[in-house]
Amino acid sequence: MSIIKDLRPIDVLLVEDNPGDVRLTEEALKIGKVANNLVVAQDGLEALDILHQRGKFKDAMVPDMILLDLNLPKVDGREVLRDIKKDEDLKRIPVIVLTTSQNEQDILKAYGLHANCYITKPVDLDDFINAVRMIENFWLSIVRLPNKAAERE
Amino acid sequence: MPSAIFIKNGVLELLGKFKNKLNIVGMAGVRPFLLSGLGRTILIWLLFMTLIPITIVGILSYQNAREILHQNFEEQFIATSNLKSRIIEQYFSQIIISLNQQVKVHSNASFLENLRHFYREGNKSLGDFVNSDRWKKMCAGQANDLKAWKEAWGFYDVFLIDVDGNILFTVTGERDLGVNLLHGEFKQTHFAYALRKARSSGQTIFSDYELYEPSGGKPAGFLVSRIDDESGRPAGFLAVQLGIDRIDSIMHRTRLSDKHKSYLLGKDLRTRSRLVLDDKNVMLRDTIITEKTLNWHRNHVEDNSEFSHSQENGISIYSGPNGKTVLGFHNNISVAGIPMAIVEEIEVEEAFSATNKLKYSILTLLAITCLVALFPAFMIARRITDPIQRLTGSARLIGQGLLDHRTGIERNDEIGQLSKSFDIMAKNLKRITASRDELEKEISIRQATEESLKQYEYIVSSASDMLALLDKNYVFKTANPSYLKAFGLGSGNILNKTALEVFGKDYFERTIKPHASKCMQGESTEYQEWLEFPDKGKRFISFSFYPYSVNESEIKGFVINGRDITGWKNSQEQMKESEMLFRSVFERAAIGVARVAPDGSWLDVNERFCEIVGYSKNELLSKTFLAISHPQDLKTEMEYVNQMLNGEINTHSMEKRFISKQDDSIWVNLSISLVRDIAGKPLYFISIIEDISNRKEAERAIQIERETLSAVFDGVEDIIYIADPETYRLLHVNDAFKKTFSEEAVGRKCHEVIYGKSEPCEFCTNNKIFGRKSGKTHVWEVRNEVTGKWYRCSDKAVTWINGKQVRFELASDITELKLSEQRLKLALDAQQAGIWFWDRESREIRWDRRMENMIGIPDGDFDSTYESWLGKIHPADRMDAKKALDDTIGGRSDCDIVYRVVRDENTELYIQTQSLTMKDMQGKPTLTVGICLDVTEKINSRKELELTLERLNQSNEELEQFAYVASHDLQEPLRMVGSFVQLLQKRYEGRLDNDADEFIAYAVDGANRMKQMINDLLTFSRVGTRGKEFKPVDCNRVMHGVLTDLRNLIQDSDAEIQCDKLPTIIADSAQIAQLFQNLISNAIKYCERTPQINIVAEKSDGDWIFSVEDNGIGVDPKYFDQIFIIFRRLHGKSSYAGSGIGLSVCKKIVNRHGGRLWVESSLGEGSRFYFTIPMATEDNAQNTNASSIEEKENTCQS
Repeated sequence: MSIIKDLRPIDVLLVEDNPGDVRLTEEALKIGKVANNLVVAQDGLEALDILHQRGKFKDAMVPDMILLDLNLPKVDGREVLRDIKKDEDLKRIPVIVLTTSQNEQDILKAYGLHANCYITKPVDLDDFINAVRMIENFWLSIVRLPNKAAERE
Repeated sequence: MPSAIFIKNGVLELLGKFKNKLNIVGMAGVRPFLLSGLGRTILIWLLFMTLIPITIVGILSYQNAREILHQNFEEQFIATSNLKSRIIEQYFSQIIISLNQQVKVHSNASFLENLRHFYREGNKSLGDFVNSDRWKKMCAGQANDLKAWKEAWGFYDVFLIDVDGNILFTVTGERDLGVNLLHGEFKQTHFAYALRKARSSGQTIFSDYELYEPSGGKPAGFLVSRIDDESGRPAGFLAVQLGIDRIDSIMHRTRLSDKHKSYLLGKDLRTRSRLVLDDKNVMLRDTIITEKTLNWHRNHVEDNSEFSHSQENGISIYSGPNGKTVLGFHNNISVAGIPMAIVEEIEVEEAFSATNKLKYSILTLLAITCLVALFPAFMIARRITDPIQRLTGSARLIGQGLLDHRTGIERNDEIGQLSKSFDIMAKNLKRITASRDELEKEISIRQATEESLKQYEYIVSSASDMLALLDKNYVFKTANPSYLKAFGLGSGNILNKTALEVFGKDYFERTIKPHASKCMQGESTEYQEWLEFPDKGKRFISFSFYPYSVNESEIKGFVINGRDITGWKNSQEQMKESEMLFRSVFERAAIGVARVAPDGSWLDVNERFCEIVGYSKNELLSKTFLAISHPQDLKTEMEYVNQMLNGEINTHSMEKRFISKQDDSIWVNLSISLVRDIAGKPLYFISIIEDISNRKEAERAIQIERETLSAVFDGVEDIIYIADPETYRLLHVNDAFKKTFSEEAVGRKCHEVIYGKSEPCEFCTNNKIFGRKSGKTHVWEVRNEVTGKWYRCSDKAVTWINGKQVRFELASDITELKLSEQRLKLALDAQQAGIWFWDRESREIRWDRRMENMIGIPDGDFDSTYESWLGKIHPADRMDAKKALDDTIGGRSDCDIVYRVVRDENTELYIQTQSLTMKDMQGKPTLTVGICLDVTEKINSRKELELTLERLNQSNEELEQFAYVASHDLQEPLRMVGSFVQLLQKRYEGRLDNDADEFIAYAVDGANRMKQMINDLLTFSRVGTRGKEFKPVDCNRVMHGVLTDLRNLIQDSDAEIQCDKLPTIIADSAQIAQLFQNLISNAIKYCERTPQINIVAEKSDGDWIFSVEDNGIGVDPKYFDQIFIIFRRLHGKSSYAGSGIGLSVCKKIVNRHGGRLWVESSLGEGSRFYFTIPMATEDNAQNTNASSIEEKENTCQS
């Protein structure tokens, strides 16, 4: 609630190589009630560049929340997750693993790397939209996250 | 009159029936219940007298009443019809007057003139003219008067018609307006006829009523009057149309009842008014044809005669229009010049209903009178006839001889007197009869006495015995002829003489007196003596003396009865002699003789028999035949005895044993014959007994010897027979022979029985054992073609009972031996097996030829050294082979090894060597024998098989992985397709055109279905790829979980599920749950009534057989295979939901568990699905094949 009071749009980083899923996530967030800036990284490398504000992304915003697919080109999602959670600054950002894999091993491994939650992409559109909105509702409205500004100070 | 007849008939019938009843009672034979013939006649006449006057009075009053009613109706009908006729005439005459006035009204004539003028000018058709505005305008101005007139008189319509017949005006404007009446479509109507008549006559004409079509077929009548112009020429016509209602209401003005009809009849015999109030249709339609109307028509319409008010012959009874008899009346009437008749009819039944009541009252009265009169009439008749009947009965009884009978009538009148006289007569009759009877009795007694006296006399005189009666003073009183004749006396010689006088003192004192004096004391005596007779010589006579007394009190004398018994006396003497003879033969016979009573006791025995059995005569007589017989012979003996007693045989003889006093068995030859008396009753047996114990003893010794020998023969398994070498007949065979060849062999020829040959065998060994070689045993082997067995035979000549040399053969079955010999040879040949053995002495290996061929050494070139053998063995295998061979040669172990042999440069063989070593008593090895087999091919093919199996497993696994990966990876793109099509639908539905909506809907549906199929496919492939380890699973717990999961489905369908106690099995519990869930949900789904499901598990041959039985729609047996194929469905999606994966998953699960799944069902009868799961054994508990896939699965997830 405090975030809404700040009237600042929430920055969300979506790491997803499938443009269809990107679009679906955008659509789902569009319907949501929280104003957000969605930044999309097409692969793991790009995601790391954005997070570390490297190269052409050196002006990029540090996101409030990361939606991460596991199977990614270049750098695998598991590597990205490991990297984020190793970084002192980035590890506070909630990482929601959003993937098609239902494999027990994947789930175990993701939580082992300190993923904040693990969600299997629902096959049905309505379920998918619902899932994204629940993510949004939970992480952006209910959960209290550390203030970014305060963090930087 | 008819009712009079009816009443008469009724009464007669009643009486007739009554009479019949009386007859029936009379005939039944009992005393008549009511009255006899005379009584009945009296009764009937009395009843008649009572009823006749009442009947006559009834008939007369009934007729009178009818006549009065008849007259009444006539008067009434005349009055009403006259009234109606007057009213109708008045109605018409008033209309005619008014019409004639209107004709003369100028405005009407000018209105017609104007219409005609404009019509002529208008050049239009008549039809068009009357529809033209001009016509309407004209009518609006000038027709008011006519309309008012119509209303005032209540006409149906008013017409103006020009002189040519054109109807130029009507008030109602029906279809006849604008039609030419003379030539147009209505020219056949009565209206048109009336018009024609009016034109020619100039008078007002009534058309009569008709069903007028322009007015919708309603009844209508027309009055037409001619309009003349000023010069008196016809200018046109004014006509009015009358409805029929008025006439109808007039006709119905006076109605006596519902059954009263009053109608106006036209000359066409159709009515101008309704017959029945609510039936209008009859008017002018149906002709009313009755006797009366036809008559009327004939008289007044056909004759066309002048018409007048007249009534047709008054009132009469005839068959009315509706078939019922009516009382009717016709009154002629002229309606505006048209002849008609007013008809009044009432149904007779109704008209005379009053008289009917009268009729029934009279009949009731008659019946009551009849009943009331019946009782007194009955009593009177009975009082007269009863006594007469009793008198009649009495007379009949007296006639039959019962003279004591009395009539018993106590009355003072004439009948009473008659009865008294009758009784007196009977009494007198009895007295006379009684005295006559006594006399007759006495006479008959006397006659009888005389008769019997004569009979006695005859008997006495004809008797051959000598009879004489003497009184107590020995005086002859009478003697019969035999007596007289015997003693040569005449009757005069002895009668009234004393015996002393007749026989002399000597004989009298010696014989007669002593016996006679005994008689006098009441004793009978007798004696025999030889007497010399004058004519017969010496005879032996038996005399009897009997006392003679009258009334058994005083003895008055005695009777002598002498009988000649000389013949008997002589035969007695002869008997004595023959008895003596028999006794001497009996006693002195050299063989035993005895008489035995039928009960078996000895009657008589002779000395010899006593000697044989060792008993004294007296000892023997106190015993019975049975007591000294040997028990084993008794049964046969008793059979013979019984046969003799029954008369089946006369004699018998047998060899049997007696038990002697010394308790020895004595063999005897016993011949018995039975002696009977004259009546055929058995008296005794005569037994002749011959001692044969010595002979028996010898026979027995031989028998024992033979039996012993025979038993020895029978005891051996070998076949033994003895045959005559000349006849070839078998003399003796043992049990083994019988079992092998024939039970009935003895007496038949040996070559027939043993070899099935008709001629002696060509290999017969007779020549080898008889003659010179006699006494030697010849041994040989033969295969018997009949039994198919090999025998070793030992033949020898022996001496037979009769002293002859015969052939003895003993044959042992050596088939097994022969076979195993042959088998070994065959086996070695077939296997191409080589044999070798180790010669311990020379330390050499000996090979046979096959061995050399196998290893590839030319025949005989093997140098027999151990080393050269080892040299042929493949270097890699040489050490192992050497060790195994050393061990077996050294006796340490038998060997069974496979090693390679290098045959030549190109060929390597696999050789299997098996060997064993024999040892002596001390355990030292003596001989080692081995065989070698070329197993190259076997080993090669096994290797190939293993390779193929491996490839097959790999390909199966790959296939399963492929299905899993394919379906798993297909999900991803499908998710895209599905999601975006859904998004499209969500966002653009109804915003594009209809086609787009439809296409999107199909795409969404397709994506959904594909999603389902992929899910199913995943489920299906997961059975193989993601199965869990097999563990003990309690099926009851699994079932509990399944039923919980299916809770909603079960509740919604009201399914009843019955589940036995289930076993614990070794299985993948999740898959077993899925299996049960699929089968149960199928059973619920494919059911059209309340599902009843029965789950059972049974043991069978190491398997658990589970079955799930339902009462659903069943499966046609021809689809049994198809239902288990993936995605195969027997029903459309609309009838039963589902993708067709369930049963194929079930099948896969069951297969994975090593079981089978099948179904038994028929269409509409429910199904029963079975599956087997192998029972938990140690073997399969360890042998779980599920876990190997788990790791591979991980690799395919990314």
